[in-house]
Amino acid sequence: MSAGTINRGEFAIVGVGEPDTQNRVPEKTELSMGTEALLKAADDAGIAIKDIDGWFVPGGPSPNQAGEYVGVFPSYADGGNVGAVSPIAMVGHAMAAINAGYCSVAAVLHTQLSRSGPRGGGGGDTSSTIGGQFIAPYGIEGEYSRHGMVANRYNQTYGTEMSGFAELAVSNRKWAQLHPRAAYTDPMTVEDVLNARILSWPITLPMVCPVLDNASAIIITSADRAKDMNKKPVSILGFTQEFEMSIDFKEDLLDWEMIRKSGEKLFPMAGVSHNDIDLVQTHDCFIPVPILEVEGLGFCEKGEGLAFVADGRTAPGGDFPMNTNGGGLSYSHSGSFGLASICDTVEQLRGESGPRQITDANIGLVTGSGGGFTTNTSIILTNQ
Amino acid sequence: MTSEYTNPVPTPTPDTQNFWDGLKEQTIQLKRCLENECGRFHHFPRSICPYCHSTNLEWTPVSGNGTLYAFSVNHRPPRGWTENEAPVIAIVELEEGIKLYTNLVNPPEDPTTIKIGVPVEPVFDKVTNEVTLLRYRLK
Ligand SMILES: [Zn+2]
Repeated sequence: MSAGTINRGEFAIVGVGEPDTQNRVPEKTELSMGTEALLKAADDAGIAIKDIDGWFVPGGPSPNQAGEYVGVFPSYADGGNVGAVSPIAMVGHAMAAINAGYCSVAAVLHTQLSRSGPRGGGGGDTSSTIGGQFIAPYGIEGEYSRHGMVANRYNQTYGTEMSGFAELAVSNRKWAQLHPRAAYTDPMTVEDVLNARILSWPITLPMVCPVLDNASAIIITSADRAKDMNKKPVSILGFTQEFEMSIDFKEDLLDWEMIRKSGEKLFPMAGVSHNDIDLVQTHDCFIPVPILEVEGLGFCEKGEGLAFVADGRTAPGGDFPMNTNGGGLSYSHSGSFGLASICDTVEQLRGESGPRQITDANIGLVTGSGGGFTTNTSIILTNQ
Repeated sequence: MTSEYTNPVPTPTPDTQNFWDGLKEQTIQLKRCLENECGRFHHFPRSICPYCHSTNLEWTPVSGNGTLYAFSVNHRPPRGWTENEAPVIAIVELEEGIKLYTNLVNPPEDPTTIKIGVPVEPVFDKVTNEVTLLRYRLK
């Protein structure tokens, strides 16, 4: 990926749109009003909504919520809040993203129903949100309850058992035991995991990430500047971010299109194959997710994920090292996730991981799925 | 049921009012796209078809019959949940291809005996004077 300069006149605004009525519109929702504006802008530009692959939604609903409503599943999104002028800032973000090659047709959408109250967006009383209407009244709360359904459907579909999922938690724990900053290092067996407190059957407590304090930071610069820095740079070979319906409205609960699309783009972009990857950091927030990630990214077939990680393959000494700091389950997890995985990967690729060091670690993959599981984002890093 | 129901209840919006009004009349209405080349139902209800982006949509009554797509027993339901300690939460796939979150009202004691794919039928559960929830029964 080469850094580019944005030249004067290189980008243009090609469509604009505003709703027919505004100011006091209790008959609209935040998202229906935004949809009006978007349709008009697309019409003005002469594009179809499906042509939009860059999605910039500051303030109001998140890019994920707005995308799921309209049916925009872009390859790049930004809901960055830099205050009241965020929509202007998004123009710059959009140019940068197009310049980087992450997207080609960007829509910046701002919609806020500040007079007539939040409807289908945020706010204190959540009973009018999509979740408040269609999810919470049925006693569904916490991602763990969704993942109870995912795990159970996985087992009934593929003839697998919870012990397979439990083993992955055990493998992560073994990495954490080698990490001085890991949250959980007590010995843990598959039986311990299976017999622990049930959160949403068949999901038990050790299959769900804790909520802890956690911070990470990384510095990124151009390859040119990087030459003058302290350490040998770790290069970013590829970046993807793909979107689809949330876990609550997916077409297939066991085959997440956003992960599959990420994988289809990421490896060609990075110019590497699956066999070239020396370590993988998955998003082990809830135990089915890393399995769906290794399947979706193409490391194995659908339904073979548990067999793929079985027999300690992902644990220290295994031939498919995964979540090498112990992951969200045993190392640390604060809600947002992934930057610690990147830090850990960089250290592995620099040979700085001490007792956790993988031999000949040259190429690492970091993947994460979030935003109500509307999005997967993945990167490939190398020390070469 | 009485007004003593204390579990979370929905507040309809202009996008969803017809769905909730329909349930009070014991009918299930979903948004359907009227474009010939699309024609798909969608859920949750929107002002735009999320598949083809048409705004040519119609509320369409459906039977509500379907099959069990996924389920779990939630031992940690929302704060303040008082109806039962661990509801069986589920996704039902309707004949129209739509999936809905719901509860199973007649689950067997042992959840391992529940098989995904079995037929289910709607139960219109009037929990307050304003709100009827769409729950499901194993046939
Ligand atoms: Zn349509």
